[in-house]
Amino acid sequence: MNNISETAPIRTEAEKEQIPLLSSLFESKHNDVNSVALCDGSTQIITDSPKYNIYKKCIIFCEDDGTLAMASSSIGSGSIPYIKNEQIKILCEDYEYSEINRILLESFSNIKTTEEILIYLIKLLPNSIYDQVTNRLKELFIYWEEDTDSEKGEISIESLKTMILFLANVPLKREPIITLDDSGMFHCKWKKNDLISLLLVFHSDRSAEYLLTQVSEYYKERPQIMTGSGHINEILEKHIQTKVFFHLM
Amino acid sequence: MKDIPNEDSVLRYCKPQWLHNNQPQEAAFVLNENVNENYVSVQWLEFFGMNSEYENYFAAHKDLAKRHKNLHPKGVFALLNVGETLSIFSTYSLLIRIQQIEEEKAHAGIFYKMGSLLAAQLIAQSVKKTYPIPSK
Repeated sequence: MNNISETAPIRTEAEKEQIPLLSSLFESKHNDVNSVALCDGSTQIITDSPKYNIYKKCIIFCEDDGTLAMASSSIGSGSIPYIKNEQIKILCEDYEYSEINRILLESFSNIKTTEEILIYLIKLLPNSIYDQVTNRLKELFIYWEEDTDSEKGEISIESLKTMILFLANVPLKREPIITLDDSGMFHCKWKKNDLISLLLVFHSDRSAEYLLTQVSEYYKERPQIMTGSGHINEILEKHIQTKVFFHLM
Repeated sequence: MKDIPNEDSVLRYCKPQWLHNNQPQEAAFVLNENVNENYVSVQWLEFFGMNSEYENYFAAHKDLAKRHKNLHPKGVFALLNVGETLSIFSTYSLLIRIQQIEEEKAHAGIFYKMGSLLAAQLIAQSVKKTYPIPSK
């Protein structure tokens, strides 16, 4: 049963052209996603299957206009904004992060500007933080333009894509603190109670550095520190297994 | 190059894209790899010899504004005490130097090893207070 909201924005022809068709990448393999309900312009995926959990991804391919969207929150409460289509083919797949990011990266490949990234963000971030992240990015782009420091480089679009690929794959509940350094690299930080913080710096080669600091119960002046770097897929896989990071996000 | 005395302070101009709720984040203190930076530029506050911290800050702002004409109105100046910052770093056995760059000028630098995200975070945590950019 589909209830299409009339308030959902209509995609422009320019937006549609920017989004490549990815139908060849998907196959429908799961039968236990039972229905889709469009409520207030968003799409909900509903399933009774207990095997779906917060880390599974749901990719929706719209046959009508060939757009791609993803729910990064738990199936059953996941929502994809602004899909307006009566014929939605639901494709749920137990993708590994490397495969999800490969698919996203292929669709990202033609995106070269910050403006295009902002258009694409609507598909990838949970509703709960989409507005805050988009507004913060717009603010950063403006500050960068206004900054006449000759020693700063260019905004690294690839660093931005790396950050978005990472954010699209975590069950975000808290808005990250996003900053932009003079090398053009994007930083994301989450803090909890001033006792623990996680900082990620995203690089143009799909890697990230991370720094986790936690105030020690025993040595207040000397927090516990965990630092490292690696491909974002490895960071995602490793920390999902250990659940080190995601309670902060 | 001369070490800044432990009892003195330095000021770092922080651009708005480095701030969250007007507080400098790590992005304000990472070294710029594009230009192979090996120090973070700061102003030596007591160099100006005024009677108060605020008067020194105002003089430092004027000095920096001559060299960097477009200080963003939404930026801030971050104040760090040299001795306290060095003490935090020694707890972690990390090397850092805070030194005057040019003789007879207030321009100073916080020197640390390139690529150390922890160093950038510790410096950000050492910020004692921030001053807004004075309006023109």
